[in-house]
Amino acid sequence: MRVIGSRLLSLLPVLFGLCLLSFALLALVPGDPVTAMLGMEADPAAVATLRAKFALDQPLPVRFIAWFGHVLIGDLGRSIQTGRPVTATVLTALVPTLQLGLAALVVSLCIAIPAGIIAAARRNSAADMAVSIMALTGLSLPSFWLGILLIVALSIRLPLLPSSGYVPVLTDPLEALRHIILPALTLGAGMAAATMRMTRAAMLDVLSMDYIRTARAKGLSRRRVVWRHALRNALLPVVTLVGLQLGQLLGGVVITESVFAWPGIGKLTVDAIFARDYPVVQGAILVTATLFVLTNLATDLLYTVLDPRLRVRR
Amino acid sequence: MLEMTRRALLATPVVLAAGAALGQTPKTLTIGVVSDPVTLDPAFSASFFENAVFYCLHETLLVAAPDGSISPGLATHSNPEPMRHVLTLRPGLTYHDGTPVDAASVKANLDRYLDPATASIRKADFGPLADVVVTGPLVVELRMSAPYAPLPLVLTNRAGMVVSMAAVKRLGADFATQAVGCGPYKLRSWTKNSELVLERFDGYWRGPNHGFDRLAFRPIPDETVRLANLRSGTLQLIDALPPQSVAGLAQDRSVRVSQMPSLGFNAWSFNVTRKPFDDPRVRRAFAAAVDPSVIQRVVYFGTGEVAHGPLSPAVGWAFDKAYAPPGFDPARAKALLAEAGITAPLPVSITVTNSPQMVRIAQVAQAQANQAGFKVEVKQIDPTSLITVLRQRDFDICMSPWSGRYDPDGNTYFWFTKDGPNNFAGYDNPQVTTWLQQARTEADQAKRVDLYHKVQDQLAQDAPVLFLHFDAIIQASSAKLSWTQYPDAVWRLYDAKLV
Repeated sequence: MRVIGSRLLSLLPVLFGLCLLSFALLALVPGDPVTAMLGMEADPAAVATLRAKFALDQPLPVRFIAWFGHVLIGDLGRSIQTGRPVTATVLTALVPTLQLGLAALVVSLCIAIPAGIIAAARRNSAADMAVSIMALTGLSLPSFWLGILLIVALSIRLPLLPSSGYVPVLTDPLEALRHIILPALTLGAGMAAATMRMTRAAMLDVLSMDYIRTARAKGLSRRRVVWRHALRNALLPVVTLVGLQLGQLLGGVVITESVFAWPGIGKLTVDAIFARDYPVVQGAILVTATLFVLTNLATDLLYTVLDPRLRVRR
Repeated sequence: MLEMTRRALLATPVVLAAGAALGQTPKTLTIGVVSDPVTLDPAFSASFFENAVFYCLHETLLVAAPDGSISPGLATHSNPEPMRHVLTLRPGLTYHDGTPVDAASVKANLDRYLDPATASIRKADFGPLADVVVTGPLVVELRMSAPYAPLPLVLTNRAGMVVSMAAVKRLGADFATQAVGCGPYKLRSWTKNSELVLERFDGYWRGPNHGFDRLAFRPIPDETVRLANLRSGTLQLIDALPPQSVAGLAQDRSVRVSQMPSLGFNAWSFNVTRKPFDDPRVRRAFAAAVDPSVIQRVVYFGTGEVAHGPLSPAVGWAFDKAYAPPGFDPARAKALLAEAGITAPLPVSITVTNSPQMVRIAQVAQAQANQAGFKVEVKQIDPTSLITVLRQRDFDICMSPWSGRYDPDGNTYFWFTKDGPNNFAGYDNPQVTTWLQQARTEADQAKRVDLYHKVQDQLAQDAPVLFLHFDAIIQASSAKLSWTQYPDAVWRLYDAKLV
């Protein structure tokens, strides 16, 4: 528990630094929310009025201190463009992102782990070659193109699945499932390719170790050696990779979200950057960064479950 | 028999998916748009793409037909004196929240647009509007400080949209996302970046004859994906079809492509306030070096029309088909540069947004201008930075696209008068300013046309802006959908229905 506590405390300076950096970087980009909002026809007097209303005429440090002061009491402010509370805006976008991220992870693991194990256990066989080709293809395919291919195949040629849109699970679970399949496949395929290669490499490494030879010498079946003795040790680097992938997913996947009209946090953040909607950008960065760091922490904790030698001894 | 069974089997998922694609409720029209609206409040709507939703959710005081002719909307209009416009509202109308659409509410709406504290971008649309006076329960008088011919057309645009002021007060900042208007459809739900759903409003002034119970707008920024969704049946109507897709869709019987000239123009502003384009000879040289007909063929795939001035072919009464100022002529470009004392290749930059189409246009112009004695660099920026770059005049040549207005005043006054908000070039020709001021106060349409043609001629000589193209409005729908196309690219879907 103390380890978790200290890790959580170390999160605070990281997040503060991130807020400061993103605030400064946004200010460096030309344009501001008022010009983005009022467009080319804007009257200079109207621009000035709105800039004053949103305190954009204040010096940058003053704006940062005011914003951060509110953050400390749990208030992320309101979107300049829509007037909606940032917390609600970000959390609303986070739910679809979490759903898509987890669905893609399930797709990825269901493909990658068995394929990686088979490829390693039957090294240089036709199955290994097939897995390597699949992995290379998966890594090479841009998600944008794969998304369109899946739409053409499963929505146009074989009209089985909807090609875009999001349905909340609580509204209609079946429709929610139908809508998530294509984006999850698009995203999961790319992730699976990397995980598959990592699983294969880690398994090959472990399978060449002495204790595996000993296990085989004891007369254990090949299946038992692979699944019971080798897999658990081989999973450590795979968990690291999956943890990083999940962290990135929680930050949103703009391209997949755009292709499938998925209302996730990635698209929200990019739109907010284009609109220079500073409070939304800051809020989204803060929330996704926190999730990223927490995911990494969870990954580290999972190591100790997989490998008892890594547990901190007291 | 076997063939029949196979066909039946193949057809089954199509039918099931079509049912699903049309939504759980059978009468939902699902529409693919370029982007989500930023706001639903007409006072702050600046995005061109928001209009797709606006004309379904809100209603205008007057109505423009596709040919630009004006007819009554929520109100009838009369202009008994040049400085007095009278609007008489239809009786018994309400907003979506049940509050009445009456004279007091219209005044409150217009006052809100005009109030500097609101900082609405609609204020400029009203020109010399001095006062809004309620003269009866359903009668409002708009009193001008000077005659203003474009006013009726302004009232067919976002400035003529009225909203429930009770909702404005009640919702405060949330009005932007929960707007209450009096259009044919009312807001049902909005999942940002995924779907905005409108639901039929039975109190609509044209009566409850809606072809659909619901309209669902899905933002899909990529044109290829939008088209794939249309072909899959998930969407039944899409906006902004890329020109290169038009020919390929000719064979697809399930899709209907509709196109017509747009009101706006695609042009580039020269920065006339600094070297080298402060010299009109250099501007004319650049204009002569670029062949817009090549751009039309290569980038627009033959859609739309080459532009020679700001007056769009969509505004038939003002557009002069025969007008053709001196065009592409590399020899003349070189001669003009020599006359301006320029002997070495002249380094200039073209700033465009990073959309593939805009970059392609700049690259074509770059290749042509380099042949004529320029040394062109193409700078790419994001769309939000564009406004800042234009306003700060931080450019040599910068793209300045315009969505256009039904009245020629909207394509000229703001662009070419000295203090016009869209005069990004920094152009200052007192004669042009005078003509444009006369044109907006002149009631006689023939005299107005004459003035706009004089302006067009003068612009060709002064070349503050290089006109490139009148884009075509290209939209596509399911072949079974009947709907009306407008030159402002905006849908009014009260009359859309399946046939």
